[in-house]
Amino acid sequence: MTYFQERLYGNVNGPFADRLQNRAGRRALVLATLLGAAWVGVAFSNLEHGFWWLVAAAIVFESCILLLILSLRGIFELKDDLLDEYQISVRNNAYKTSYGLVLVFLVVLATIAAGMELPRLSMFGVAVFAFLVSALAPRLISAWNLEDDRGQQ
Amino acid sequence: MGNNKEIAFHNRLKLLRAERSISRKQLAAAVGVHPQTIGYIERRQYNLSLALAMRLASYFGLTLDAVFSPKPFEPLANDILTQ
Repeated sequence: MTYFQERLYGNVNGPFADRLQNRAGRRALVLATLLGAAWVGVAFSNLEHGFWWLVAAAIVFESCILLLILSLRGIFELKDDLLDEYQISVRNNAYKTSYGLVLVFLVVLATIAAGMELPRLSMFGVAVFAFLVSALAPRLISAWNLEDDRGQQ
Repeated sequence: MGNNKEIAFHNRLKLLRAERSISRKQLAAAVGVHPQTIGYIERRQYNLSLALAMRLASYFGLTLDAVFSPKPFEPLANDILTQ
């Protein structure tokens, strides 16, 4: 086990991650991550507002991703031998589901963006948002669908 | 998100744990899964593999059909009363 994997395994099974195992919290985190991705996209579209606006958006977005990883117990980051069969099945199903949804999302987003005749920089912001959401889609889908964990008793 | 949308097996895991005063964490460590996974199995939100089912049954020293069943289990009190 590498140092990174060892630290991650410890954190995703630690007491802080235990507090992030309720469904409502996970869903709120999914929405916050989507908003964070949109903010990063908007920040890229309006670079004249300054570098720090983009830094603030990136910090919020990264924080959401870290919390998402903890709430999912790192099933997308850890190696198979550190996961059990349920966690592996959740991860694999999320990848399968996300293929279709990402395709639909990209087509819808491209159609809307093309219809709006946005300036080039705004189109870049939309592309950044699309890339971030597509990359995170399996995690977002898992976090949205995963059942409540009602304690360890 | 359970991996299988079809009918999940009924099981006596919670009863067996309570009977032997074993926590979910202890059982999970004994069979090599995460404690959350035991919870999902107990609540019938996940259809486990045969290998894990056998590990669980063997941990309790019981046969597979004594722990898992496709049909709901009869209450144990019925067995005692009919003896």
